[in-house]
Amino acid sequence: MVLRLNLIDAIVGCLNGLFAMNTTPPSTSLPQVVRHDCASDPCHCAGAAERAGAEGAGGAGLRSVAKPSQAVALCALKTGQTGVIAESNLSEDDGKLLRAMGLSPGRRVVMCRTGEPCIVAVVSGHHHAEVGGADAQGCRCAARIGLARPLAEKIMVSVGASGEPTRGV
Amino acid sequence: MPVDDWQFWVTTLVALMALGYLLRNVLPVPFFSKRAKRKKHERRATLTVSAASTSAQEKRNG
Amino acid sequence: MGAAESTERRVALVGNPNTGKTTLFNRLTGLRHKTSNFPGTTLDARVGRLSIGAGDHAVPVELVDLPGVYSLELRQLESEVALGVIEGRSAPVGEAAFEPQAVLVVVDATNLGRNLLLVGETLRRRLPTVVAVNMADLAAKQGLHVDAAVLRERLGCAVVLISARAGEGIDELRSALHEAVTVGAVPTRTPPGDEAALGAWAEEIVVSATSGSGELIGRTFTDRADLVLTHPVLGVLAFAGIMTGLFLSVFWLAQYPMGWIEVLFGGMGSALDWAWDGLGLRVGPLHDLLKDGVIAGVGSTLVFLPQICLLFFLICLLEDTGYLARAAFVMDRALRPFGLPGHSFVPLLSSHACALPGIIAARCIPDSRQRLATILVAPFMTCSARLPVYVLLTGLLFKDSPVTAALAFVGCYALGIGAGVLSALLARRTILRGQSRPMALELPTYKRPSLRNAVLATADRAMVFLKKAGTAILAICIVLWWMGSYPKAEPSAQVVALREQVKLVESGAATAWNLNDPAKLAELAKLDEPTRKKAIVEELTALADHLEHREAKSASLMGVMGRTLEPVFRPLGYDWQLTVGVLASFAAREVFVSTMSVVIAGQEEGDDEAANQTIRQELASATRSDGVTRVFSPAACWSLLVFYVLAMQCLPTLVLTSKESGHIKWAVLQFVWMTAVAYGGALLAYNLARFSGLS
Repeated sequence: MVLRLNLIDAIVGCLNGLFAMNTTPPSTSLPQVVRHDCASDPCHCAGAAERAGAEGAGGAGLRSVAKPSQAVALCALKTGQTGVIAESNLSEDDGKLLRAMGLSPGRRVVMCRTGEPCIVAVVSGHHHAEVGGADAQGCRCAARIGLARPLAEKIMVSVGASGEPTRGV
Repeated sequence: MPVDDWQFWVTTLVALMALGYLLRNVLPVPFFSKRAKRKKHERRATLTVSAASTSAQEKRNG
Repeated sequence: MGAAESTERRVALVGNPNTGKTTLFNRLTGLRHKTSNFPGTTLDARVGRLSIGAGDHAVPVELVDLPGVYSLELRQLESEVALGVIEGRSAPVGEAAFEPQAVLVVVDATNLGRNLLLVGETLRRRLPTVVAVNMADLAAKQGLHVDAAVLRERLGCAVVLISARAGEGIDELRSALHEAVTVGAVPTRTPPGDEAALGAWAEEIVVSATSGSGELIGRTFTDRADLVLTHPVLGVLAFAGIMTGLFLSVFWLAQYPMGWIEVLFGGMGSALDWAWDGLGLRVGPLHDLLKDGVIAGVGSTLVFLPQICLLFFLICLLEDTGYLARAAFVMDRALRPFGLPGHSFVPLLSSHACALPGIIAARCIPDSRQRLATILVAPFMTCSARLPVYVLLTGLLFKDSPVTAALAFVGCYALGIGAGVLSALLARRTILRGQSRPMALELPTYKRPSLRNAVLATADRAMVFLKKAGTAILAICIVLWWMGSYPKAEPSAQVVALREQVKLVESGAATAWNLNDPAKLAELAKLDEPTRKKAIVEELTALADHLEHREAKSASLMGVMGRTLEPVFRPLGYDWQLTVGVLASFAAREVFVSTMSVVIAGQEEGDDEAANQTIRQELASATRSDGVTRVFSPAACWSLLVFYVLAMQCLPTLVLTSKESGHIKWAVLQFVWMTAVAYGGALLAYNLARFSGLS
């Protein structure tokens, strides 16, 4: 199973490279999320991302952040990148529907697949999602939503400082 | 037409009933159509081309 | 309170989409439900009956399955309908409108945060509420633990952990419902009314009521599968493979029950003959009506039922796995340039079995313009009723080349799909112009499909098909039979002469006979006297019957219409006989083959394959009134093929279009547009075929 899944990753990565849909290398093509022990240090997401970045500095792909988070369009997130929904410029009806579907301000989202439409996972239950059997509180519940670009580009999310993606191991 | 054949009259009656059933379900003639009669007791269909529901329109119109 | 109150207790079943509401509804009510609509809408309304409580305390309850909604306060039809029922202002057609005694909210344990928003809105209605936390087993597998006691305390209402699929927790749920409808205690907590505050309230409850590791985003089977199934290239390939497998399965499996149904109805016809004989009744119009009108009419509808049921069964299974949402996602890219959303894919796919359930399936499309466009073009998809026509025509065109015939078959499908999407594009650029609603679609986690749900949903759809199509097609067959039978014509001189000859040969007074077939004559010469006489009598009788049938058809109302309208269809290469077939098909396509068989060969195809071969040979060699030009010339066959791919020839579909779109003008437009496209296409095909020397 592991070998088969790695083969799939390789094929997908090659095709992605061939069609220039997503330049993220296969090894980081799966969504990664920040690990943070919120039970001991509840904090704002961006700050948590900084601390997590400092903690996991030895891990692959993790960058330390120095400045406050920036707001970017949801569709600008790369695969695996997380963000927190800040605001949206949607019409009343679209905004209400998406908020009812879970895309409301303060919610953490993980970009699962970029493109048109894109797929985002909306994490509920806690400000931070965990990787690997973390014992922090909160629900790791997620809903996956396919969003067309006209919607995704109107939803602004806060990411790590300096416009860099916030990654974890 | 074989007017002295009773079977002709039976089959013609059945065909007329079938025709009546088809017309009743197709034509929006109030007297004829059960759909038109039912409409009196129902709300209007809410499928509009303006992508807004009629009940929302009614609320906006007051 | 609603207008009229019933003694029956009503429970409204509400929940987000993909929470297992349907599974729970089926689990609670089984087959004891009926499907109708909500008034003034085309939304399905399912009402089931169940008894909750035990012994003397048992209470009959009516469970109303409301559409899946994310919120009761959205400006969407589904939300308005759900809110209307909960507030007692509305009810399914045929039911009295009154406030339900309780509300049962189904939530997904693996996505509690989002689901609690709807729970909060429902609790604010101050009705006795029971919250069923479904998929508790799935959550447990993910390492997620939901504390029902904490939820109960925080929500202020009954909370039960269930697994509708496995049937766990159903007894506790029934007890909670019993208490809700008998005691009627309203929730003890009132969630905030403000949207942002409600979101924070929901988050807080999730934090306090859940624990455990949960699923790892990006590492689940769903994420892995989506890497492939939503990939721009692999996703399309996977989609093509799955759809090909689906269609092949449908056509391969359905042929067996279709054959059984044909045998059954053939047997019914023979049984009718036997009974008629036994009762000593004269074989006349009534017998013909029953055999050719009623039995043939019912049979011509039921024969498509296996394909429709199989296709829907497999579509339901795919939907239950969660794959169809991905297919809609993948197809969104392909369909959006034509002004259609990814959601259109399921209705258009379903229309390949029959446009009726396909048009009904268009209800899932959120945007009204896109929904209307889908409804208008759905009949372009090659449905099962067209297949006998394709088989006949490709068989005539490519008698000795089955591979080319198969390619032509596929070409017909492609032509229908192409015409459909191009027509949608035209509609969206003209009469249905406007911004398309961008896609926002929840992609549920993959799970094992429920056979029970698929069977129940298929049974529902089959009933819809039988009720809508069956009754209409039966009526059409009866009317067409009458139009093809009356007025009666007196036998011509040629027929009279043939019958006289038969009598003379039988009595032995004639030694010569009027058979123009030298091969047949040579064959007869080899036989001994008694056998030759019998063979001649049979041959002459068959010839006389054949001629009489043709003359009767020609003199009938249908024949008169055919000859009157022949000039309209002559540019397409059709004579009066083909015109009769085409006109009859405008009511129901499936009658074309039988109509042509009767008009040309004087009899319909039956169970005898040898006789059927003879009929097909007669069709292939039949000539027009000039005695030279073949009725089914290659050019005419191409023209007919294109015509049948593109024409709107289904009265039940027109009726449903009118109903689903809310106005007859859309059905009229659909008919006019498709007929115009079919005429133009057939004209082009005929002339191209003639130009290439295929006259």
